Amino acid sequence: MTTEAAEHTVPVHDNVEQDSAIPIITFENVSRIYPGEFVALSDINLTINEGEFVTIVGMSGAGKSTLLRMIYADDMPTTGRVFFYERPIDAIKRRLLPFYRRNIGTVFQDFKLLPNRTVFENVAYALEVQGAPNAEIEEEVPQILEIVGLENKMEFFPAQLSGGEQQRVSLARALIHRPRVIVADEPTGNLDPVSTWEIMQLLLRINEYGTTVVLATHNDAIVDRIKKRVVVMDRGVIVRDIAQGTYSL
Amino acid sequence: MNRITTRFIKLGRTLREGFRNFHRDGWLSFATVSVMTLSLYIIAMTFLLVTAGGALLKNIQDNVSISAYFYPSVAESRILDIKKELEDIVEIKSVVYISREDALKEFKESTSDPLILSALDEFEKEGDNPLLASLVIKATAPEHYEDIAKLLSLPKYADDISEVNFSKNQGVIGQLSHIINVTRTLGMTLGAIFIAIAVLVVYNTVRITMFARRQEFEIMRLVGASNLYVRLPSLYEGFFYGVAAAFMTLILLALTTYFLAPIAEGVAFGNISLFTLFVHYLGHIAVTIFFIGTLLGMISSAIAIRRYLKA
Ligand SMILES: Nc1ncnc2c1ncn2[C@@H]1O[C@H](COP(=O)(O)OP(=O)(O)O)[C@@H](O)[C@H]1O
Ligand SMILES: [Mg+2]
Repeated sequence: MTTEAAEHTVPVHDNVEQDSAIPIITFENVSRIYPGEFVALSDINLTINEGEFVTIVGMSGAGKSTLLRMIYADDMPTTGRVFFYERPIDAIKRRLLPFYRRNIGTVFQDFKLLPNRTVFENVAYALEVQGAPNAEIEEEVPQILEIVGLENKMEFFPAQLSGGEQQRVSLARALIHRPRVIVADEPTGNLDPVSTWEIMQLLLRINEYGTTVVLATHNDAIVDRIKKRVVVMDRGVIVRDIAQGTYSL
Repeated sequence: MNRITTRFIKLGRTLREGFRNFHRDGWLSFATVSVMTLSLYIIAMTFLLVTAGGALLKNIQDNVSISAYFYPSVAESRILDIKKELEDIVEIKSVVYISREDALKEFKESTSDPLILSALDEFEKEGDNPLLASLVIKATAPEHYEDIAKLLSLPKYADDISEVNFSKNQGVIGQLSHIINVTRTLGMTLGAIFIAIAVLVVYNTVRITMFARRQEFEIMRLVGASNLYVRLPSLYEGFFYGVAAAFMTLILLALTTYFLAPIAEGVAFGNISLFTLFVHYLGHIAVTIFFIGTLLGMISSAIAIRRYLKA
């Protein structure tokens, strides 16, 4: 750790470079206590601005996934609040949560692809469930598959693809409904270094187009290389928040 | 994008999904449909048996009557006066006068025994008629016959009426009513038990398919599928179970009533055939069974969905 990094500790509300920044995700005194008094998150304060690329790092069990789950409303804080722009997520009616989730694209370590559907169908699925017309699906799915470089493998099944390719399908699916935020929870956890770097470059490119990216990882090599903001977590608390991060566990 | 169009697109897609679930797990669906069929069949069969019994009962009741036989000495005008008196009583539906001549004619038509016929001829030659004039009385309800019989044995009729003849069907009616009531209770109880079993089975089937599809549910949620979109396929699945079971039930009913009809007719049902009844009530039965079946399927699925799918 550098001395510069040590200065950027919690609270992290005002660590932004530009004053024109618009907060898109805000954690306000968030704690998550699991049954049995297990504290997974403890009084988290974190602001992520529109267009930022934030990497959450920390050892396994640090609370990264718990934090990310709250962004896509899969889990709610025990105390404290999470905001999407000015809107508290816990105040969204259950019925409307699915519509909120369309603002967030998610990518996971295990890809979560449907094995009995082709690459095209897997990506189309995200539009199908929203009732998009077939014409729109036919048009947009190939476009997004071209962005992730899989335009030639649209009729392949997941089992016929490498891990890196599968993760690109998953990324394409996350992007198809043009989310504001991409949440990626250890997306490269199962990938070799080359594929890892391909995925990272894709995420960086998506971020350049204006999508906010929140990435959780315990791969320090990645963090050092991308030179973006790094939030370090340990046992449920944010221990450092580094604007142009390099990082070692 | 038009909201209505979106809705129809989703309806189509979830329907397809539900149907896929239904026919993908063949044995599971078969078992589920069988149990539902059994419950629907019991309900429908109970209805048919009770209806047939009711019709038979009415048939017998219509044929029940009380006959008052008059002494040969009583004048026809006196009998007709009594007839008038009786007709004014509310509990009495009809009174028919049968003169001695009518009685004789009827009797001769109903018998073919040559001995009896020759004996009657003998009487007729002497200008005599062994039969009595009578009034055949029908009550508005079977329970009134007792009172009517009492009325006819009042002293004021003692000089006119020689005999009051109560039809023997009375006992049969009581027995039949009892059988119908037992059938109804038994059928309804059995039906209710099997409905409960069917609900449990459909519930479990949907739960199992939901477990098999849990990965899909998770992905659906992650890509922002509406709750309805996630739930509809399972609901349709329940609906399809109901439709299939209703269909099976109708076929089963047609077969059993058709093949049972001759046996049942011989035993108890006289001219009322279960098959005829089935055909007559086919519309009612079909609608009711489809309604109960699909409702059963969808309610069971809905319970499974509520318990196993989070928002
Ligand atoms: N559903 C749960 N019930 C109980 N404890 C949980 C649950 N989910 C996570 N935890 C605990 O919370 C802690 C943080 O988990 P997680 O956020 O997954 O960490 P990370 O993603 O950083 O590895 C872990 O110790 C984990 O065991
Ligand atoms: Mg994790």
